[in-house]
Amino acid sequence: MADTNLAKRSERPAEPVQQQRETVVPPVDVYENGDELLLVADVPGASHDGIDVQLEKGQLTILARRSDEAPKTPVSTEYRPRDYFRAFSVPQGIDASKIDAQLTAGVLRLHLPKSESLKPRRIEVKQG
Amino acid sequence: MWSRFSDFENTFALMDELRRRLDRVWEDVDPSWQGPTADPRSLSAAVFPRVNLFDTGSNLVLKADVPGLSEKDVQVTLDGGGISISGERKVIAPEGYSAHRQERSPVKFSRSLTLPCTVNPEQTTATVKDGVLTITLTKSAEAQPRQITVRAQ
Repeated sequence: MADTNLAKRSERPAEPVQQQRETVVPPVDVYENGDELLLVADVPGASHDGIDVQLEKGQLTILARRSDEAPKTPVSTEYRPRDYFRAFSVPQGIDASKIDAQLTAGVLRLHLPKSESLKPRRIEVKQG
Repeated sequence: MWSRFSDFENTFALMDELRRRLDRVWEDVDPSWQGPTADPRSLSAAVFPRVNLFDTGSNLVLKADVPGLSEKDVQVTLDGGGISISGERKVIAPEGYSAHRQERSPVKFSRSLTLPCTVNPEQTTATVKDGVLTITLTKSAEAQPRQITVRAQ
């Protein structure tokens, strides 16, 4: 039992975290078809204004701020409302200007359309 | 035979210890977080939805994160001194897509909670906004806070 204090062990993120408020990692589903990547994230409590999606150098970051208010006088608490943050590496060839984000009932859907170079292509075999 | 039983017990002791430590992880990050006030035994990862209960004086307010659910997917029942929340959250993979990662899980849930005081069922409202369920319960007349006037003698 050399080092039992697991909680005190320091763990640094790869890059300094920009936002001030503490965040949690939301669960995310990632789907793909021939035309696009589709990300689905659970971000309950976040509204449209609180969503910040950025694509930079192949890094997709999703920040969703909670905007719901709760009374200040808790009787019992099982969770703590927090903002959400998640980063993904995405392949080159995603058109950042065509990213489409929809938020319904606390579920964020991000459509990342592939550019032509990333789309599957059928290669014609010519007879030699 | 006895030693085996003690191994068995040790395993559970270890699991208890792990759970105690996990409950305290947040205290190192943020000392203001005192951990969940509810009994941690009743709070496994499978508990859905997590519920926070507030007392605003004349009302009890109950909040729960129910991402992806709309008002018609949640049933709220008042029964005596308790409240139950039930429903089903489906996660349907979109047609024609292949899945790389699936972290969101479907869940069929039913939770019952005991309320700290009696409420007026007629004045209960429940709303779902941005995937957050809010139930406002008005305390019954006898549970309402009452100001007692102090008189001079």
